[in-house]
Amino acid sequence: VKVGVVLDVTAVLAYARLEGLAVGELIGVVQDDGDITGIPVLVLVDAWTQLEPSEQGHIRRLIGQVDPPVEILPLTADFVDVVAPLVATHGHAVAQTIAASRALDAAVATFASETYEGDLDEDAILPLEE
Amino acid sequence: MSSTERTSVSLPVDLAEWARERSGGNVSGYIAGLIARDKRRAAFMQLSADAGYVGENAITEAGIARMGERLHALNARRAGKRTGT
Repeated sequence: VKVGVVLDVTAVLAYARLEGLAVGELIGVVQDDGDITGIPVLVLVDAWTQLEPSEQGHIRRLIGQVDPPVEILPLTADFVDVVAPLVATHGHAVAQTIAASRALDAAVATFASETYEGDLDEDAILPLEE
Repeated sequence: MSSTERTSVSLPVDLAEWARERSGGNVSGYIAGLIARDKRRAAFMQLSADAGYVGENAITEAGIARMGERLHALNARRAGKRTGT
């Protein structure tokens, strides 16, 4: 199954806080395409620390159901060499988001598109609006 | 693998022809795929509604269609640059 789009921390936080209607619509689009929406595992870790338990529950259910529309993108050992150089300047979550987008040829959905300017082609960034 | 159950359906002629063409002859598989997609969609819509995406904040078919246009246009531009078209 192809990863149709990658969610960054801002998108995950917005969906979990019920401020991410656009994120939900996007997940629906990707599902219709027969693809999955990906959340890099370091994005999930970063978001988790900023979410209330009830908000975490929204994400938990999203990724935990049978045949989920959203899956966690792991950080495997062979991917560390790609992510590590980006960590110093971007932090862990953004570093894996950039690396995943490049490796999977999938756009990053974000409420902070400026974060990725210079690292991703403009056609690899899907700006979201509240 | 799921077990299967034999059933019969009646379709308008034009849709039956469409299904045969689209499926390459495996109409059952084609219809099963459409139903599975609809089931996944319904599950996600229910999940979002249960989370609180309701009323003016509800995820709708129209909203998904608009977002689809944006994502597909973005992907097409990226693919075009890759192939030089």
